[in-house]
Amino acid sequence: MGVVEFGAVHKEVCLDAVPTARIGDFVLVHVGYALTLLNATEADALLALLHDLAAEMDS
Amino acid sequence: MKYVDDYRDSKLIASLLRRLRDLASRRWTLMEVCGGQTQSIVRYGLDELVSEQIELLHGPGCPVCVTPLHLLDAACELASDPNVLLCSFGDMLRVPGSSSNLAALKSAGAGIRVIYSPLDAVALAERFPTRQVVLFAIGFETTAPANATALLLAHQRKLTNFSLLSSMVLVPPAVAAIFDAPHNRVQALLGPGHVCSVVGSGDYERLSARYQVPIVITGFEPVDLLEGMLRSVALLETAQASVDIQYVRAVKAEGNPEARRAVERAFEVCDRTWRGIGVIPASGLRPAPAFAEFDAEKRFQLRVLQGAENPACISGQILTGAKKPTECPAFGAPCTPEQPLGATMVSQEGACAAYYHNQRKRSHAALVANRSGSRVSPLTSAPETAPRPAAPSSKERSL
Amino acid sequence: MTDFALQCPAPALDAAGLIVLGHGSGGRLSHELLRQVFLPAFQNEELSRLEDSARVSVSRGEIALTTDAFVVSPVEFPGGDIGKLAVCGTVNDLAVSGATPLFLTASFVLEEGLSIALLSRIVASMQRCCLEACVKLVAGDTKVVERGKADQVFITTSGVGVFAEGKRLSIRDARPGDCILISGSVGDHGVAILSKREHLEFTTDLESDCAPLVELCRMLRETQGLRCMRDPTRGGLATALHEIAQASGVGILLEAAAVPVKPAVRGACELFGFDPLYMANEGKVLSIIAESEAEHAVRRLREHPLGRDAAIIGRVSEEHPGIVRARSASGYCQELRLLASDLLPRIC
Repeated sequence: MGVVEFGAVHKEVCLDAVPTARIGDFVLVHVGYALTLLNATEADALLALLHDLAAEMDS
Repeated sequence: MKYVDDYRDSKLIASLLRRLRDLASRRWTLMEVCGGQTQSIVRYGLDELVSEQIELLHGPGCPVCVTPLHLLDAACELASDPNVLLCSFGDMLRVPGSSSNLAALKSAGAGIRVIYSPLDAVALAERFPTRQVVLFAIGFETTAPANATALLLAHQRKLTNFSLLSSMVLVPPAVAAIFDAPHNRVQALLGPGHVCSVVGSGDYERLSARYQVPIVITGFEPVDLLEGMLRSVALLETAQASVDIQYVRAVKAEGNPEARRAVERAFEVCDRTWRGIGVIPASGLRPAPAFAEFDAEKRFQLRVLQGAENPACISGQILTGAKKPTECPAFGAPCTPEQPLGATMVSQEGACAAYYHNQRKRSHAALVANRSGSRVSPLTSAPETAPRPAAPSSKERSL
Repeated sequence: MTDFALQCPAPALDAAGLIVLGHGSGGRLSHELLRQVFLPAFQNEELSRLEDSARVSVSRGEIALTTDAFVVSPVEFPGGDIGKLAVCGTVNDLAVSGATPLFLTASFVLEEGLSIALLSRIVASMQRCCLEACVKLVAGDTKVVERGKADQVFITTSGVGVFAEGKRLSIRDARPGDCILISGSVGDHGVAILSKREHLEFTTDLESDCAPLVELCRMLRETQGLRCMRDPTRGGLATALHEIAQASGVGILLEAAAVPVKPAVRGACELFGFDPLYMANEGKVLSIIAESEAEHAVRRLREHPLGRDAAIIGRVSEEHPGIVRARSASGYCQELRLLASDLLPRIC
């Protein structure tokens, strides 16, 4: 078990399926169970791409 | 919240809608599988905003909705036993059984606890050693790892008063059943992002190849869903039947082996009746033979009662995307969330309830057009009872 | 007999400091409880006379009269307790109807076995809140029920207020073009209670917003163009707006992004699948004000500590009478319907 922060709320969550989780990592939580680690690199890259495309369309 | 607000950005939503309009040469028919996706699509009005490019069919991915009547009746029967404490997710309580529902039994004094996590049921079993604690274990591949962990924990702690009434279901066989149906209209599939974070994309590669249908594994926020639709249309326009992962922040091709291992250890695949649909072979999970003692159906020797559905309810057609909730003659009257005829009007993830709570009038569908720069919506979820978990992301801390 | 009992040296209420059935008997224990817990807390002339009814003076004209029962669980929660809630709830009902609250009565149903120390804390909290709201608690009653027949303590308060000269406020008076104002963040009370619920337990610094709204309401009453006020308690902002839309026969369009929501409320709602717009508030005033005066009213509210986060959150419209809609990030306007059933039992 570990503590996960949701906004300004903390809740105990089962971390069995994410053994490599370290403090500061992001996890996907469902019914009190962390399903997977979130891939910050992929997430940021996709968002950056979407913002670039949006900016391109505006110009 | 990180990875939530970013994906509700009104500028990104507007730009994705414009790209979709530019890309689509015709109107395509897509199905989203997951009830969480349905809920988000209806809440943000995405189906209306894309209606010229895409017809969205809503799939069978609401676990509460597909839980078969005979298991719900069995849950009611178990809960009526004063020796039993039945643990259920809140959405399940008002789903109509053949003669009663769990909420009514609870009001009449039955031992029913609404839980947030399956692990809470194990804690209750430890706290009340003289009660038989039964976890009403519903859910797809997303909920199975938590249910499995609850069972394995109870086994490890040698609890003799814990069992599962399993109504767990698997997505790929249901999708195959929909694709196999003679009147299937689905041209592309928005794959279930949370399910695939566990199981990976392998099953969906096979489905896509077998039925020649593009599948885009998609997240749950409006930006995710629109991008999933955009990628689906891109594949359809170029006639590619392949699998694409939009939900890259959570889904790897191989899924999460750790979570899968718990499921494979605790459960075995079985045939399962889907409410409104019927039996789908190899579409369910139940406790593995090694853990048969934790199977409530065996422990309590439950009779399989064949209850009668309300004949006015067309939830089977709703769940397979054959009909929209608004095409049901009972929608809104007499069937409402207060007086539901079927499960799809109860659960937050049920298409009927989602439509009802977000009663749309096409003239309302304000177009995104020039709205920009505002903070993302603090709206989070449907106004319904009880815990529906699934926070898309969160920051982890140590204990 | 009564006088004699009141002059006795104070005996221990009972050995364990717990409420027993005898405390509700009307006999010696009842008097001791009155003398040791209630009278010292609510010291005032009207109550201390111990007549069967309090005699109070009010100005001529109409009075406002309201009553409310409080059964919140747990009885003590972050940011308040059932006593504070029982005073605020009734005071706020009077204040939002445009009255100046003056007097309260309180009826206590106590469960056998309740700790007298806890009861004393609750009563002290009521008195603090009465002082803050400038009201007097002038009459009361106590009953005790067997263990298991109630949950610790239930309190019913009734209140009397007087109306100042001027126009009457009514939730039938919202007009197209008016602005919707909220005095601060929504959902704080509901989530603070939720955080203490068995099995849902999570940790947060969030406190209930439970507070008397007398001053905020007075400030709003001084605003030209005020149509009506509401305190969005059970059912939250969405439900209160729904009542206004129905009563006035107008549409209401909420800008979801403009509604102040604290991070802890957002986080808890994401976690459990609730909507902050339906979560209870106990220290917020919702008002409908003519467009020309709305900005001024927000500025005034923000001068008060309880109104720091006041904001204009939407508009009254002619279209869609009786319906409340919220514009989301996609620009789509979602209808906010009444809840099919309560989010949570016993939040107030």
